[in-house]
Amino acid sequence: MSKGAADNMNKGTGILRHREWRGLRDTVYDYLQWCRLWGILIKWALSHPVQNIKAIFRYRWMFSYLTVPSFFDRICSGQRGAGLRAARNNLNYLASDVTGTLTTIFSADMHLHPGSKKAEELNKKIICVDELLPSLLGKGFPNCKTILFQEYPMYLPSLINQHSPVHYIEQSELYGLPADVCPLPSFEAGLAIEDDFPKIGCCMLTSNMPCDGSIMTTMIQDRRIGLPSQQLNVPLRWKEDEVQEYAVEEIKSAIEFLEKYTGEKYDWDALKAACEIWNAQNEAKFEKWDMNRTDIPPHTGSSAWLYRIFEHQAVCGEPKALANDRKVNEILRRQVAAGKCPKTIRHRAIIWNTPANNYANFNNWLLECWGIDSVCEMIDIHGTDLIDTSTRESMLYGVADMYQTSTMRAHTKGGNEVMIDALWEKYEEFNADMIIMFDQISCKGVGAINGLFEEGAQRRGIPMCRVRQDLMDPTSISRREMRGDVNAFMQTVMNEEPLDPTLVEFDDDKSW
Amino acid sequence: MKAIMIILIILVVLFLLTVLIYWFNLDTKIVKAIEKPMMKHYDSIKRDNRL
Amino acid sequence: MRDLRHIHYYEGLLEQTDNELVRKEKAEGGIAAGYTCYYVPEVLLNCGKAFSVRLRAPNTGSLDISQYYMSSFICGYTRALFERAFEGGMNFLDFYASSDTCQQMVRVVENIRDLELINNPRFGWGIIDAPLKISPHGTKLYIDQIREHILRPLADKYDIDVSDQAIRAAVREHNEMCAIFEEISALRRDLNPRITPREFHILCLVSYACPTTQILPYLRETLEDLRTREADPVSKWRARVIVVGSELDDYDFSEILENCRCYIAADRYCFGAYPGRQQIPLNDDEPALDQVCRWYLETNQCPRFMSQEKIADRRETVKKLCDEYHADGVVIEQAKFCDFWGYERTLNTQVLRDEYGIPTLGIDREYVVRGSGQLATRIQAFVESLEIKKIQKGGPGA
Repeated sequence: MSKGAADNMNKGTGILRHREWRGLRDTVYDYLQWCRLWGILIKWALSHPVQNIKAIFRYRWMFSYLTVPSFFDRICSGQRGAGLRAARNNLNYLASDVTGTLTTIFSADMHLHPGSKKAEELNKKIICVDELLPSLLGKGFPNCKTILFQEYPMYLPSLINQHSPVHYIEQSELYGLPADVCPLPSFEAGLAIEDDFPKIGCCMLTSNMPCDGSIMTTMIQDRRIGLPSQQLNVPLRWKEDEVQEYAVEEIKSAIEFLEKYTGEKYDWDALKAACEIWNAQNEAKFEKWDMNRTDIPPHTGSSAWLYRIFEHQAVCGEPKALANDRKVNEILRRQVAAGKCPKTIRHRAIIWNTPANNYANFNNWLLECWGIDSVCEMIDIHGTDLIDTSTRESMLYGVADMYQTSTMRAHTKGGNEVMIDALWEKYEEFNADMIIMFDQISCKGVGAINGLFEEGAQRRGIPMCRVRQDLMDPTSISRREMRGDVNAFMQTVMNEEPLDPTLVEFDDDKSW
Repeated sequence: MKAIMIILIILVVLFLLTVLIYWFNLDTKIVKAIEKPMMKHYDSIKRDNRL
Repeated sequence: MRDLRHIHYYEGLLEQTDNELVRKEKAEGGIAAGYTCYYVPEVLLNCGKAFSVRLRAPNTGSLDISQYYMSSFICGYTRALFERAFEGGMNFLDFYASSDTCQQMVRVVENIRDLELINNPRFGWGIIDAPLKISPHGTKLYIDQIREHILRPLADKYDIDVSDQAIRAAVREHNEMCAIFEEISALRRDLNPRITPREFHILCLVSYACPTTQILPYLRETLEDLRTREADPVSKWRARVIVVGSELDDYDFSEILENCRCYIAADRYCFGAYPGRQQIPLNDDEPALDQVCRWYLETNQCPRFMSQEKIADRRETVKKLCDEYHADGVVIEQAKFCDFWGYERTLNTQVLRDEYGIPTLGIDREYVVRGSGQLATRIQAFVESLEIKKIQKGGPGA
């Protein structure tokens, strides 16, 4: 009997006994990209060895970054051809950018360099922003580094290692935070309680992104971060023209605040250049979506949405990110032109609502186990309006629009119709035949319209599989339970047999 | 010539080593092995926990 | 103490959202404008023939339907409102003025709209966006949003007079009601007060749940009654607290504290007197709408306001109330699954205790608190701890 994917995993830890055999060509390609990743990691490690070791030993969340090769393997699991190449290129680009940012962070971190004049000087030119605020605005300060403050201690580790949030969420709950709040702000609160945020920056731009919980966790974080801070209030009813003026005024006010604390003058030409690069990045994304609308979608799943989130938040307006996009699109185009599709697709699924960070490679499992290809995902769709860079005002309106339609905001705010009607539209557009609906149990904004999704799918005769998850708390709902929801649906509703029976039920509770 | 041979041998050895590490997932397994002591270390750090 | 005038009548009014006075006002041509939140200026919903009804769901039983539509991790208040709408209990509503200031509450009106739950051909709604800090452009946004999403629909759809004069008239009537509450609130400063927590809570609730025009005559008589009422010869109260927190429209909560002989000297929760029952000052130099909106923004105590000034102001407000009303401690109550108050309670329970030196109890509760033995136990324990502190200080109760 041929072996399934789960046969190659160590029970409990999910660690592969040996790496995946993808056929000679793809395995060699994967090996070379793995070497490239290790080149990036070794280069980072050797750039500031003492500082980096101090950081690894100081911050619990840094341990997650040591598991990055394993994380990339999971994100590339089952991938072949252009999908594999796109995934590896995207991920390696992320690795190079993240390691660069970690170097900036740790060089300025007063926890690691207490009393250091050099670190103090570096901090004068570091702008901290809430991680759900895209960094595009910061491009107008080319002499400064804009750091998405919670991205590196919180968001990325939660993707890389499902257990990374657990300790911090426990801390929050020990201090009285209710267990029903979303794990994302709870994790942030826990980091603040433990003083486990790097001590960097000259000022902080907080925000109300994306939701009520994030507003409130800011209060707890502000107390520990101790930087001069200003709230960038991003309007919720973003579809209305009437709120746009306010959105722009908020951005202008934020710029004034940043000018005051950095001592820099805002560079509108630099912003313009960045906006134009961002427009090109968006166009590259649109092309990817066009290709995914075909019968042979080349680049779907985990690496696609992970990269999009990172690109939209952290590397919007970055020339290197655009270069990566163009390279990846060329790879994808070639495969589509050749009419190839090196994956077994039984179902074209729309994946709606926020995915579970604690199961970042859920899409890979869907495809490998049940042949469900994630041709379109809600989390992938944000900040898609092109910015008019012809005047300063039009640019500001464009940036304001980007912020209002940011990750999670684009669908969960603006009215029911934005999230519900958009689902049916995408279903048609991508010629889907089923929906995977994430039911993030602690997301109050979306949980409050669960029934409307159910009824809508029933009315349209669309098979919709509800997958319960708790964003990044594996102790609440495990990966196994998530898979269980899909298994039950595929077996009882769709009456199907799995592509790989070993992946139906397996133990990976201890897996990163 | 000798130097080139030595360099070639080193490169071949490194290549084979990396292939071994890659194929048998040794990089991941090493990190897994140090996970427990690292967590113990983090637990032992004195912290200024407060709201 | 003798029964307070009209108290049983008020209890009867609170048994239904579509109460006798709401029906009476509607029969006289009134337009029922429902709302749930302080971000929607109550007084503006009382312009012309419109009248405000702060929405409640009294006698809520099972929430099976709302659980299906809205999941079980949604705050009980919003689920109860949705359930009531589903049952037809909100068909009297002509207009639902909502704000996208709480992601759960705004979904109620959106669900009602999408499922067409209000069997009323005139039904309309408006949803405003609102700032999270006070700034000139934020105030402008707020005013524009109110005008666009609340006043304009009221005027266009229901022919409501929302002119400057109409707003000023509504403020005058509102202020008359607030003056009554300011006088009644002052009675609560007494160490042996003439009004019980439960009674005050009921008075407050009827003022929100009934048309102002209809309830005012009753409130005036109740005030007259209170002016001459004599307190019990001996104060039965073991401790005095300020109750702070989220939406609380179940007066059984106050009864539970009363039964523990814990006096609620002031209430700083949504549906309470602070803010909401203070007179709105208007000058003749600016449009009334601008002044009203600025008032509601500046006095808003919602934890959603995230600026440092507002965060500090909320704590200072509690301290001020403690001092003014001679409170021994603070109870911060949070509706289960309320994100805003979940965090605010967590933080301020500690801050008020450690930085302000005010004994503070943080609790969470269901929407309906009736018969909550757990709540009573926690309050009882808190009261005992407050008594012990007083004894240690050598104060009253020693």
